Amino acid sequence: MKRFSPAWWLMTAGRVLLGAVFVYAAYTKLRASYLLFAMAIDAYKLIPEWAAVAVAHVLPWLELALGIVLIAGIWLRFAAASATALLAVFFTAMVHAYQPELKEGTQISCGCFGLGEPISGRTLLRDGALLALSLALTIAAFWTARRKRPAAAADAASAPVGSTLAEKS
Amino acid sequence: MRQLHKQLWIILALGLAACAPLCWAAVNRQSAAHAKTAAAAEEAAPDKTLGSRNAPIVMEVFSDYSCPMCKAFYIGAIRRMMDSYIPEGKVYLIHRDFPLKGVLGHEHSRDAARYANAAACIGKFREVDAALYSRQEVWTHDGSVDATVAAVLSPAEMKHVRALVASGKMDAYIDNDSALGSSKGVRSTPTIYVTAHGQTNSLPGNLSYSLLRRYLDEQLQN
Repeated sequence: MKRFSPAWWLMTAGRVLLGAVFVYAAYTKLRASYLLFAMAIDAYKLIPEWAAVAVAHVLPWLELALGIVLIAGIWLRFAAASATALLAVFFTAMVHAYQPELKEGTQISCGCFGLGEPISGRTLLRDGALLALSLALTIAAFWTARRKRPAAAADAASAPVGSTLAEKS
Repeated sequence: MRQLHKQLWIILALGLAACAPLCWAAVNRQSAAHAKTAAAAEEAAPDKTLGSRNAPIVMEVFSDYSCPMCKAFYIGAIRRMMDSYIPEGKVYLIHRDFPLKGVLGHEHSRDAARYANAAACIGKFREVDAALYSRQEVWTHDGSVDATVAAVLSPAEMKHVRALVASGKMDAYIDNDSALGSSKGVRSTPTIYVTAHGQTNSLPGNLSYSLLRRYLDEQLQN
């Protein structure tokens, strides 16, 4: 991908935006007690309590690291793929827990940016958009890397013939 | 002249003596009025709280007496806190009524809230609160809120509660609680807010007590 081309700008904007979202999400969780996030995870009743506590300890730091790596633009394929996998897990859990007409019984908190934000059509749309962005970024990152490899192969093929013969002898 | 002075003093003394009962009656009337005002003030502010107001942690719970999850939270968390955090002055619990409208199985929610508020006016909130949750499956089905409450109150107390419910005054308190909840974004029950160190956080209603206990202990340690 040509630097400063429209596609390059789009990809840069996408990864910086996604990275910023991850950093902010990590911040909202790290500034409060990890137990609040643990309670939010436990409310989904998908994993045992001890696992919810472990995830509450680890996930914010993982989000922070991913966010920084995305913003920096390093290891982009790995970072984008990890972000996509993480968002896919979150989105699936949210869709599973979403109960639009629920009044009786507690509405489960999204837990995306701390507690207190119930899962709603708005949060699903937001997280769905982030997932789509992350997926697009992942595809672009792999595609860009693939395009670089044939170019590198072409460079090697067009190297001077003498040097090759000298190597053989 | 001396005799005139003497007569004047006698008249004055008689006059004061005559005024004394009138003053006494006036004072009594004022006390009665104060007592009435105090009683009215007491009735005007049902105390639906548990624990010390000076507790470092405040837990505000918006609930509907017909809501099974509210009952589960009451049994799983509140009742346990009544044995520990609340009497130890660590948690101040505030109950707020948020009877859900138009939900199947919640037809008697408002009635239950009226009785709970009336009981709170006479200092019997804890007993009626417990009774309503423990027999939830019965009165939500047949509407026997009055009988449920009567089972835990004396005849005199029940008479007072019925009078308060019949007066229609309890609806204002319920509406106040509901309006407060709506302003805070409450849309379902139970909705729980915990305030500690000047920060308020919302907790999920289906939380596990062990996690809640860990959180409360952490806040108390800080």
